[in-house]
Parts: sequence; C-alpha cells; structure tokens
Amino acid sequence: MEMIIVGILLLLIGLAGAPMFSIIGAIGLLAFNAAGTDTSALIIELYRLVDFPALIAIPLFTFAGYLLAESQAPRRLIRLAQTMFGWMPGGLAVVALFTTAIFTAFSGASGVTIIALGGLIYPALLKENYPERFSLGLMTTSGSLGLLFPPSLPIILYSIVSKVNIDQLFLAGLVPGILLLVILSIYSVRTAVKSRVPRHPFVWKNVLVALREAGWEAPLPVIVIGGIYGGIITATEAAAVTAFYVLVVEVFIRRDLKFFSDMPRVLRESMILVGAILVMLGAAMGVTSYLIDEQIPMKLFAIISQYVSSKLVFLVILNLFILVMNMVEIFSAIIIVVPIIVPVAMGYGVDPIHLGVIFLLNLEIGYMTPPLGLNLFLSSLRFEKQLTSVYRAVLPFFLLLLAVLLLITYFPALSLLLTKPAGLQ
Amino acid sequence: MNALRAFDRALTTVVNAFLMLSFAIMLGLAALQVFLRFFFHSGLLWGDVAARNLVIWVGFFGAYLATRENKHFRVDVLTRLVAPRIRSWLFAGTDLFAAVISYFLFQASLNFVRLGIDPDSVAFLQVPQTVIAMIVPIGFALILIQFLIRTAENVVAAIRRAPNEGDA
Repeated sequence: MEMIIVGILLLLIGLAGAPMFSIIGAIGLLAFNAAGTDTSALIIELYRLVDFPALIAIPLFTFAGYLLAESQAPRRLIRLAQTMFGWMPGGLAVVALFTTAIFTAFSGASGVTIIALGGLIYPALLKENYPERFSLGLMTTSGSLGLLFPPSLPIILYSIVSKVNIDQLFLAGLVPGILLLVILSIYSVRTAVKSRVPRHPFVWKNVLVALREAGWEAPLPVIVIGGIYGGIITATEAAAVTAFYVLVVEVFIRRDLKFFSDMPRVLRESMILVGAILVMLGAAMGVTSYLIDEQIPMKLFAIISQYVSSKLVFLVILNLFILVMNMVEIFSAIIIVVPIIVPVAMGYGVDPIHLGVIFLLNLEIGYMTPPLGLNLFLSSLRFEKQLTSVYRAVLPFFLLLLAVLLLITYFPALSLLLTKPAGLQ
Repeated sequence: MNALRAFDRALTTVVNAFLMLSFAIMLGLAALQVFLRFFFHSGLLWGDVAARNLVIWVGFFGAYLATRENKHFRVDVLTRLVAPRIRSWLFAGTDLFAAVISYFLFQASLNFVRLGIDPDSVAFLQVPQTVIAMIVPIGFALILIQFLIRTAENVVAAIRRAPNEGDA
C-alpha cells in the first residue's frame, strides 16, 4: 500500500516536469533503503559505468557530431553527392535520403538533421518539381533515418544498457538500415518519375570540383562505418579517431569553426547532452541491479507468458509498447525499459541483438509517429507547416517504415546475418 | 539575488574550465592510444582506464551545466501547457525535489568514497582510486547547488509573474 502511494507520488512529480534522473534516483534510494542496503551501494553501481569500454564513445562521437553540424561540412557533402548521383531518376531525393541518414548517425539522432539540413534540401526538392507533400514527408523522416548506422548515440546507449557487444550491434544494424534506405529510395524514384522531375547530366568536372571541396570530410563515413564493419577498428577507437579528425579538419584545416570562440561553445553544448544522459544512466544502474536482484524481469516473464505463448505475438505486442514509450522521450525509454525487457525477451528465445535492432527501429519510427513524435514538431516548425499537414505528409513513409519493422521482426536473420552467434559479451 | 548570480557565474566559470581540461585530456589520451596501437602495436597500460574515468568527470561537469541550462531530460507535457507563472512554480517545486534527491545521492557517494573503496587501491599511475572517485560526491554537490539556485530563481520569477529566461 505504502509503495503504491509513493509510486503514484513519484509519477505525479515526474509529470510535473521533475528531471528524469531525480525520479530514477529517488526510486533507487527508496528501493535500497527498503531492502536494508546502504545507499552507497547505489553509487557503487553508478561507478560500474567506468568498466564499460563503450562509454567513452558517447562523449567523443557526440562532440564530433556537434562540430560537424556547426560546420559547412553537410553543405559540401550534399553537393558532392548531388554531382555524383543527380543523373539518376529521383537522384536528389535518393541523395537526400543517404546523406541525411549519415548525418543523423553522426549527430546523435536528436532530430537535429531536420533543423540543420532542412533549409538546404527542402527548397532544392521543391525547385526540382518534387511534390510538396512528398518533400515534407521525406524531410520529416530524415530526422531519425540512419539511427541504425554507426556511430548513432542510441545504438551505443542500447549496447551499454543491455550489455550487448557494441561492434556486434553495429553489424546487426547494417542490413536492416540499408533495406530501409533502399525501400525509401524505390519509393522516391517512383515519385520522381511520376512527377516528371528533371534529370541532370553527369559532368565529371563538377564531380571533381565538389570532391576537392569535400575532400577532407568525404572519407569520414567511409573510415568510420567501413572501419567498424571491416573489423579494422573498434567502435571506441573509431570514436577517438573521428573526434580528433573532425576537430583538426573543421578548426585547423577548413577553419569553419574558430578555436577560441566556437570550440568552447560547441564543447559545452555537446557535453550538456552527454552529462544529462550519463547522470540518468548512472542513476538507473542502481535501479537496474535492484530489479535484477529481485528477479523482477523473470517474474514479469512468468506473468506475461501465461497470456502470450508465441514469440511472434510477444514481439508484436512489444513493438506497440515501445512505440508508445518512445513518444515520451527516447533516451529515457532506452535507459528505463531496456534492462527490464531484455531478460523477458530472452525468456521467449529472442536474441538480444535482434531485439536491439527491433528496439532501435522502433525508436526511429517513434520519432515520426503522430501525434507526439519529435520529428513532426521539428518539421512543422522548420518548414512552417500545420502539424496536420505534416501528419498527412509523413503517412506513406511511416507505413513503409512500419512494413520494414514487421520484416525485421519476423525474419531475425536480417539482423543476425553478419553477427557472431553468441550475442552476449 | 545579485550576490547569488555572481556566485553562480563564478562557479560556472570554474566548472567550464575543468570541463574543457578533462575533455582535452580524455580526447588526447584516447587518440594517443589508437595512434600507438596502429603504428607501434603498443599503448599505455593506464591510458584506457584513465580515459574511461575521465568520462565520468566530463559527465558530471556536463550534468552541472545541464542543470544550469534546464537541459535535463524531463516530461514536459504539463509544463508546456500551463501559464508562465504556474510553470515557474512547477519548476521551482520540481527543482527543489531534484535538489533533495541530489543531496541524498551526495551523501550516498560520500559514504561510497569513504567505505566502498579500499583506501590503498590505485586507479592508474600513482593516483589513488579515492581521489578519482571524489568526482561523484563533488558532482552531486555541484548539481545540488545549481538546483538550489534554480529553485530560488524560479520562485523569484513566479512572484514577479515573469517567466524565467531559458525556460522554453
């Protein structure tokens, strides 16, 4: 009884806008007190974060992403891609899909793509005669596209929380991520052909000029994504290389950003995000260990398995649950929900890596799910459109992504094709 | 109020400096390790441990700044809907709640450093583990102080009927 009252109280305080980390911390303090454990054990759990090799990837990749977003690099990369692929039917739309996916992967998937690249790509799409509704839908989708590719922040966070090897998780996201891009590209080509979008001739000279401009940044996705997939560097090493490389290129070679005025600001802004995530993650470590000690996930599995016996039905219900959770706030969703559902899903025989891909794709879709998905608001703000017209524009993309989600859920092989059989570290 | 703001600015300047310093060392170490491994097939034995510990330092300094700029993750359905004055009161109340929790976490982490760590254990090089782990109580103390400042600011804003700057 007492517990229920305290629970409702915390829920109300949370709804009133208290920081999530304080709510999670309160739960941890109360749980350890009730179990008769000294609360310093809560901090022992928090300090275990030091033992996660992937942890350092969070500040390093976030810093690199913020630097890139503030520089002129996205502009140069889009120009290069356009000169290379503009000759294809639907060329610009396909270029937009791939470049925004890479940009989102690097910038931590916080919807910043829509703000940073929207002003660049959206008018270009309209100028090339793409339908307005299609262009709006594409831009809204782009805010979270690429979340399955390294080095996106949600993947790193998922791997830390679920204790799944990060390199394996990166590998698992490759095929589903590409499948997603291919299906959206086919849709884009079809739209372009139907609306008679003009095609541009391929000119070698333009490619060379654009290549010279973007020569410093163009190899970066290849090094990072290729290096990780090729097993040449680990994710944490890639983080160090990327942060260092981007810093040198954008500040000292390209000089888009000034060392004394821009650098401290970008560093501060990116570390504010990192700090907010880490303190929430730290507070949740104690709660998670308490839940495991009390065998809460196992008890939950025992209850659920009475009603749901099929693995597939469980996964479909899980999908719906995660979609709703993600509308609240995605980083909190990962930190709070993942430790509970991973053991439950393993009870059903779901591979934790496969579950990771399902979970992350759900996040991606959650961003653009009406009525509360973050991308919808950003898009409506950025392009000065009514929310309802954004809802309509995003619908075909939403349905395509949902179809891919079903495929990924139903065929674990799509995610596990490239990974080693043993999922746990 | 002016004295409080001056104190806030001074403290933030110090935290900023420590943030930049710890980030620079962390990035430098991490990059150096990759460089050493790639070109010399070696590395500093203590490098990875030191860099990982610095992540916690960077994280707490960042969390202090996140508190100051109201950037912690929170559910904002309610605060977005209400009038500015009520919003200020809500922020004052929830910030005070967060301050109380931060205080208990501060106490817990003091106990952690005193009792949870072997006083003779060394983290890396000659640096004792207890010194490295002091960032946890220091971090929660910083966050606690900042939440108290925010509470005061929000109460003042609520009484003056003006929404506090930065509370979007």
